[in-house]
Amino acid sequence: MAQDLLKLSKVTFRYPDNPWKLDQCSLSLKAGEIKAIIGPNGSGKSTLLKLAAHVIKPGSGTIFLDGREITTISNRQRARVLGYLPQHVQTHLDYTVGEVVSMGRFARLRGAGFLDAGDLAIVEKCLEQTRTSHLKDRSFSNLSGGERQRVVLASVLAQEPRVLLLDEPTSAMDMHHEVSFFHLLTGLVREGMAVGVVTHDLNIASVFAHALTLMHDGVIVEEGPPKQIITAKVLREAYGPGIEVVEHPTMDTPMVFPSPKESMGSRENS
Amino acid sequence: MTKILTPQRFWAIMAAYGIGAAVIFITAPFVGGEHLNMGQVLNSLVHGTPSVDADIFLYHRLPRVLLGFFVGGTLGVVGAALQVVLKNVLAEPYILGIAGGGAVGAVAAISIPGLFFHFGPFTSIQFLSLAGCLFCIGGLYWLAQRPSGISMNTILLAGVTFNILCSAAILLIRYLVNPHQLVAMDRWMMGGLDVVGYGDLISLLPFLIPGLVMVFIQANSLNQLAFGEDMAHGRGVDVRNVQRMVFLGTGLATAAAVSLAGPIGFVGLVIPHAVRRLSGYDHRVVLPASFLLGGGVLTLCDLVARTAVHPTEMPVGIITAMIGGPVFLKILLARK
Repeated sequence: MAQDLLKLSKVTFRYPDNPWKLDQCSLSLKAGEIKAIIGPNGSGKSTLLKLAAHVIKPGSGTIFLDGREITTISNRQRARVLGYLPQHVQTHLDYTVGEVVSMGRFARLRGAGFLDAGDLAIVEKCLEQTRTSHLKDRSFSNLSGGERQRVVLASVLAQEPRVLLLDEPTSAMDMHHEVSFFHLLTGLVREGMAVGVVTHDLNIASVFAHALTLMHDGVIVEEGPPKQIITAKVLREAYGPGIEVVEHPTMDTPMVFPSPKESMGSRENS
Repeated sequence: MTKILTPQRFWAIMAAYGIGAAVIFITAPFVGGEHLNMGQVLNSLVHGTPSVDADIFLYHRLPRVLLGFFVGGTLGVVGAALQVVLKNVLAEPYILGIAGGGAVGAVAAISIPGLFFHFGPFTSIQFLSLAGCLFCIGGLYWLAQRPSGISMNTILLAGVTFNILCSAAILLIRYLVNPHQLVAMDRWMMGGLDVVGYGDLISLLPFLIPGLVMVFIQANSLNQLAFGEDMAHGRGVDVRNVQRMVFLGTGLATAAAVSLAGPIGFVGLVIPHAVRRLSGYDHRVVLPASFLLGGGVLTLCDLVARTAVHPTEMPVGIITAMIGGPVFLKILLARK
């Protein structure tokens, strides 16, 4: 039985001066598994991921990382187990790609944080894994959106985490790079990593994720394998009309496509 | 292009900056409006024979060069660190009104009779300028802590606002004080490094050194913070702690510099900009290099200030503003 590397139980969260809230969400990430967190805009996916990464603290509920309550772990200790990639990572300073990836070693180094030969080898490996070795001496800020996303993934991999939390990591990538990105994640979970990824791409989630977590309006409405979640009925309840579901022509996975018909009235709020 | 920082690379870069700074630091005291007989100076230093030249060298030139170096270096470091935590390459103690806050405190201490007092080696100028700097920096910290985050422009506008408020406060003090104090106040406001002896210099250190240390130890975390608070947190940085240390440290160091040298502008803007151009963006290099380059450049500016219009002198703040203004404009235009 796979171990829960990250376990959130009944966490709640409320932003100041905002009536929206995240209510009683429980989520667990297992070694060897990619879990995709899906849901319409404003459903709380990113907030849930931030809670899981301990960027924000829950109003109530508990979070366990590798069997230890997350509040009892130091920042550096946490970063050695858990890598977190927020949406839209950017900087106003002009670092090179090599520097950005080497910054991933922060939590593993003491003092001034200089990299030794071992660290540099890990940086090279992460650049190769994300196919960004050729960008190493380029300026990070001048890269395209998709290249930047691959570079920041490389930098998070340089942390050598066992849990990876990614918030829309492929939103700016072309399809080829998105698919190879998820191939890479598949390889990583096979080696024992646990991955939680927020994505809007339901087809990618259906093909690559082992489990899906569907959120709507600050709560988790359903969890399960792609076949259970990617159905017209479940998706329409969360997203509203406009989504059709078919079977993948060569795989045993459901696929979504936009409905060519006019919207069939507004979504029911139950 | 800058490579990943290794200890060898770090020390090589530091050596280059260090040699440059040392050359300026060693030659500057020997140059000045008054020609010094070096033989007499050395003779007096070695054998203790009294000489006017040696006195000028020891009690005027050397402390002044030391003060210029410390103040310039401090402003460089403070600018570099604030530019990261406030996410704006135009951030600088003068532009953000932090130096202005310190100036209000210092001017109040200088000109309002009841507010001037001595406390051991310190005077109320230092305490009130510290209070002014920390007040303005606290305001910026409060703005930067908004849940929605802050835009780069908000910070600059906050600086404009602080500067307007500080100017108003200074005008009010000017209006209220004895007219004969106005000249002294004006000279101080233009920024100057004229000190006599070492007493003032030593009284700076208890503020300056802890302030700089608090900033320097965050150098590596500042690199992480340049990618946003969330990313830095994910990397294992205690973001709140880094921000607090930087704000408090820059407040202490700026107050120390401003209380003695007056609000010298643009060093904190120009120096980190030049350092990043010369040796890359890694703040483990940027911070110490900004100290060395800032110290060297302000010492040079002061050399010009005290020789260009001999037999009189020019406030060094005028020179730094003449260099800094156009650079500010250049960076602003480059961002468009």
